[in-house]
Amino acid sequence: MNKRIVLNGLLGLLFICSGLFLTGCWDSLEIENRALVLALAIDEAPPGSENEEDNVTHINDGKLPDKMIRITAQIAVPGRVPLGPSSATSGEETQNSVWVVQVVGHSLDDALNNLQQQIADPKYLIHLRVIVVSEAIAKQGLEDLSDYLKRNPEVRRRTWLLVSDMEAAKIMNAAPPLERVPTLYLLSMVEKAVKTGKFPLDYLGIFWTAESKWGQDGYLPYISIRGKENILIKGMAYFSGGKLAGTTTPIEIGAFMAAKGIDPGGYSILLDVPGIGFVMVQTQERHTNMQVDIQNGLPKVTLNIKLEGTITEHSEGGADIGSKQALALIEKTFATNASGIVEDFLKVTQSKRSDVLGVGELVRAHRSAYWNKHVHSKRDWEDIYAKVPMDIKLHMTIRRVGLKN
Amino acid sequence: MQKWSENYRAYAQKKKLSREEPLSGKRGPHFLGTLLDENLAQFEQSIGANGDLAVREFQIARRYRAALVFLSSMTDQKGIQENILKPLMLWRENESGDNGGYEDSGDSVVSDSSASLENSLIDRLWNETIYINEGQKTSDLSLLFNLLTSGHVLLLLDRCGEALAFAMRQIEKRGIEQPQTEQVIRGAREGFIELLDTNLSLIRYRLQSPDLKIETGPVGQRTNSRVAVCYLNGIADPELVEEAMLRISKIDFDGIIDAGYIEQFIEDQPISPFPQVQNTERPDKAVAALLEGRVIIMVDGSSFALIVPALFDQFFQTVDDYSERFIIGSLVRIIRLVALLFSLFFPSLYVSVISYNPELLPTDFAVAISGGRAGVPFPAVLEVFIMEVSMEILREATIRLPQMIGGALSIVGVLVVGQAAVSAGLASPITVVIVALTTIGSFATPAYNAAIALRMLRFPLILLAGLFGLYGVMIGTILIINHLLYLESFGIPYLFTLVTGMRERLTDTVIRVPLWWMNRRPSHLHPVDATRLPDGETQSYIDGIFRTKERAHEQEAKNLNDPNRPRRR
Amino acid sequence: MNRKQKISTIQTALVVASTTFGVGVLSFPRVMAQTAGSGAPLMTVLGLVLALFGLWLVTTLGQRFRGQTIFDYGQALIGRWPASAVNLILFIFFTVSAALSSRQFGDVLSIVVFRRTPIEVSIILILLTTAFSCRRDIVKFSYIHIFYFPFIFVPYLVIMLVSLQKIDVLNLLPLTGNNSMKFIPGITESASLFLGSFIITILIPHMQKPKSAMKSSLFGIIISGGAYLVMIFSVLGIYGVEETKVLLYPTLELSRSISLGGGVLERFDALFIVIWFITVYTTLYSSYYLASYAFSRLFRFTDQRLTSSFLLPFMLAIALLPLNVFQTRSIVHHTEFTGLLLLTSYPLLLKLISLFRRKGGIHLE
Repeated sequence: MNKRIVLNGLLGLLFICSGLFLTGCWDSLEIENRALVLALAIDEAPPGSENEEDNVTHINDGKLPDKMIRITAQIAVPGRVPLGPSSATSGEETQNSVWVVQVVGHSLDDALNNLQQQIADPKYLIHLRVIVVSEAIAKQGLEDLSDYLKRNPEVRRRTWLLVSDMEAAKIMNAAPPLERVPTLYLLSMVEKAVKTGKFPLDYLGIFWTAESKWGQDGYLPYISIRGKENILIKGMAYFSGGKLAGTTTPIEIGAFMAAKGIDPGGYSILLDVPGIGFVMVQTQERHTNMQVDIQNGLPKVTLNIKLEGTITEHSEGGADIGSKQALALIEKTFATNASGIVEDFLKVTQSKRSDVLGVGELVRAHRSAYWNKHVHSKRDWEDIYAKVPMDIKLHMTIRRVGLKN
Repeated sequence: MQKWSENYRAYAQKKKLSREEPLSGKRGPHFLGTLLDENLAQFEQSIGANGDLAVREFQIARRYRAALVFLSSMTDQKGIQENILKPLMLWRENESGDNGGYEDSGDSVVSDSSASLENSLIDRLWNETIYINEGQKTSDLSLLFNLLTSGHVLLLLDRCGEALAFAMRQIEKRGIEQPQTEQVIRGAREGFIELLDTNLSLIRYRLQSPDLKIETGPVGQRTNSRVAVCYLNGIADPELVEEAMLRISKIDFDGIIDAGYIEQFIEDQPISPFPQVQNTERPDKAVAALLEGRVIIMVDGSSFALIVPALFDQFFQTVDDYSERFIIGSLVRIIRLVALLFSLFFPSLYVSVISYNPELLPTDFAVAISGGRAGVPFPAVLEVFIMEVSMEILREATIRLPQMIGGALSIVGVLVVGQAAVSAGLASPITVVIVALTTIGSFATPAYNAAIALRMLRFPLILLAGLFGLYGVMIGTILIINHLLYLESFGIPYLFTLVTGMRERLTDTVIRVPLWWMNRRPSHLHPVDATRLPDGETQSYIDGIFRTKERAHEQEAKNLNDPNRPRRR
Repeated sequence: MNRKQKISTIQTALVVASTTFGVGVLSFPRVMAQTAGSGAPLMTVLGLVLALFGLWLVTTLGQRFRGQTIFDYGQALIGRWPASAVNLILFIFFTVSAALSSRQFGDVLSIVVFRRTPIEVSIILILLTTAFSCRRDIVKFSYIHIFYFPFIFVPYLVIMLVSLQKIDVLNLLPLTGNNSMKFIPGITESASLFLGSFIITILIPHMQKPKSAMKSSLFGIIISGGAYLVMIFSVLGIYGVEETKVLLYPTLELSRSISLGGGVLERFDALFIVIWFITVYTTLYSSYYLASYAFSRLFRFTDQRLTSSFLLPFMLAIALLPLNVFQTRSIVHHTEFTGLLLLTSYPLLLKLISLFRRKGGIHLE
């Protein structure tokens, strides 16, 4: 009995000691001692930046790729954002709540190492919420960038990856007065766009998943700056073979969402309905049925899009829209108009060999015999996709016209 | 009354003269002498004439010298006058008819031994004169000493080798008050007091059943405290009663001051922070425990009763839960569980999130928190540790203070020191919130001993969190839970209700179902009779919920008239 | 108080379930995607059937030899020395598999959470925690499993349910996979997930109703197999085959990509690792317990407390042997394959002998 207690005690002591002596709290780092990188912007390095390079990870012996990138990081400054509800004078604080640091490097990690060399606190990507990539970088392909981001366990899969039509660094400097932390404004902007049906949910993880599938290509939000610091979603950037293939207009995002059947509907179309005038119709719900058949040795896609919408505005006309016939006419006009937009959009993606719709996945799942025979790499499918005939049927049902009769 | 200087002289002299061992240390029989004066001298010498020992010498029937010996501090003085002294002094030998016969026979034997005359006198006195319920005759001196110190009055006769002892114990007692440690909103306002007999009566009148068995006996070599074991015959598991008695009988300690002393001798696993015996000040709680098939242990001189076996969930239940509506009772229990988890895990989780996993916080909050901590010089572990320790100090300080000062101090402690610590940059505001929540949470646990066990266990958890983050907290939790799973109370696994026993788990742990649903006694107590409510009654109550009012009444009436209605087995 | 506590049928099932649901949880979908593509769920089911066969053998043997474990009746059936040799191999297998579990655990921890903490520390800690709890009798052993059962399965189910709405059914089609499935590695991989179910052999003697041991082992396997299936459905459904192949720990990725409460609760990976810790702990606990049980049987020690502490340094040494993640993976693979072979063929042999001897009329019970 006594021996048992002694043994137990010894084991317990061993346990405690191993806890106390073995650890140096290696991984413990207080939150305020971490440099939290909130956002990253990635651009092509301007010419001549080889000289700016700090050679942190390598010796400059000319064996490295010539291509260089410049990253602009937003780092949260502890203490600048007050705890608790914001005071009225938060406007001036936004200027200082983040610290914007710019470095160049041969790869993303190289650049981040250079960044670490410049700042005291260890950098952490655990709160990295937004990555903005310039169009030029996206055109070179995002494989290399993704590799680092996928390997690093700090990076969330729910980070947003955005493509900007201009220098991405500019977006890092834009500081809209709405949020205390500029990144969070950018973040809430895209996330609210998803909620209001302006853009499909498209986190980094979702983009990666789409990219890795053979029968689908990824797409990303395409943003730009208007005025001094207003950021807008300008369209959708679609990819082919991991490289940026093209961009769309905002209304084409609506067309894409209709083709995919992604809810909620958010886009409106301004229609010129003969005899009635201009009518604004907003989509509320989308239901899409996509089917694939093999015809003449090629998959044939049938898209059956059913939309529901509301009339939100009617201008330039004393004509009455409060009748069944008028409504039917508007629906019909909308259908032709919208299916035109969808068709054009898909034509363009076909010509760019970017299967954002994921037709290939449908073929793989339901026509696996064809798939196994013809597709042996992602490129194979992209080539087939370019030739796939599409049949688009679009039907609009208007359920509400607003409060006005 | 002697002066102190005389006292001192007497003591010093005695010390020099004889190094006699204390009374209660003496073993083996010593018998009373036959001479009154000698006997009295022995009492005076042993107990000390100058203390509370009272000796009243008198004569019975003008012939026999007698003396009453008692401790004035423990006896009912008025009762002695009325019921012993008065009848003895008024007694006349020739009052009754057969007096003569006694006298004759007495004369014939008086030459042999006058003591035997006195001995028969002692019986006659007991039979004819004394108005006392309880008494005994003995010649064993050590027993007499024990009786004397337990508040008996001794009647000694000259030329008699035996003495009579009467139970004239009267101890000053406080009134029955509301228990301080277990206050209830709805429930009896009576609490146990220090006197065992009063406590037993408090139980007895709540449980008027011949099945209630009370076994008493002295424990403790020197204190000779009366310890009572109560159980319900026909409900409590005989093995459990046996085990409880066995464990109590094994106690061979010099003094039992409180029920807590007993607790430490009878618990299963001494090396554990968790209480394995429940204590209560409430008679109603004790009765409820008896009815469930548990055993109650009480000690004279302690206002706490011990309930065995005690399982973990018992410490989080109060009498209120049962008297209030069951939905409210269940919700309150859930809240207590949450509070328990708060008090155990909050600080360590905070530490691990701040120093190891800031990614768990929403981004804007993370940025703000890092702002709040920006001026604090310590790592989060140290900060939380210091704050928690000072909170414990504050709690410990206020608990012993008079109520009025205590209240003031706690306000000063909490509001002023907390606020000052934040503005001095010693602690971040969030830490103060965490510490406050922890402390409040720990007070929501009804049982003090269980609450303090968990409250103290949060310190190792904070340390582990500082060392390994969430992983450390998890290891600590696993060790705690494994320990709990290993514990047993009187052979019943401590977490029995949570691990096994589907019915107990559903009816009376986190959720308290209506009383008519608990138609069985907890099976882990192995009750002899498990039925609380006859079979079928529960179903009829459930049916009653869904039946329309009128028909329910009809059914009820029919049931009552039915002679075959199932009754208690 | 000498009432001997017994384990009920449901409790046995829970022990089997929580034992078999283990370390593999994180990487299992990747392995299955590599061998079977979108046919992974089917492959899992096939493996489950194979595992059930082995379990059936052990359970029926245990029912036949009341109150004995495989270490005892093995000796009765094939003689003392051959059985001791097999028992030694069994002991080595369970020691190695416990050590490898802790190693895999340490790997995940040092890749994902403790990137600067030496891997030895995390391994020592989990081994110590386990060694501590191995000093119990079998009833307490089962209590530990039962207590943690909800903490193991409920979080996984919550994660699966939250991610359910994001599942793209297309990713799961075709059910038989696009390319031809690699059956042998696939089935052995998935069957070896359930190797821990061997624990039933030491549970049966302590059961209330040994007759229903078959029911409980079937139940246990179905619970954990079901959880594995749901998991593989949701991982594949969300990521698709190609992405799953790329991810080192797909299930962990899954927990990283869901959020609750409108983004307030994001990044479940840290929490998930903690929950996974319990999962690993229960599995490791079973194999550690089996190893020390086998050891004490082998050398006829009555006290298991001593053997469990004694094994600790050996486990640690084995756990630290592999040099990198890939080496660990291949060693684990080989060990599992050997284990599967051993734990199926040995009971099969015993079963055959017992059937044969019964015909011969030797009464063993």
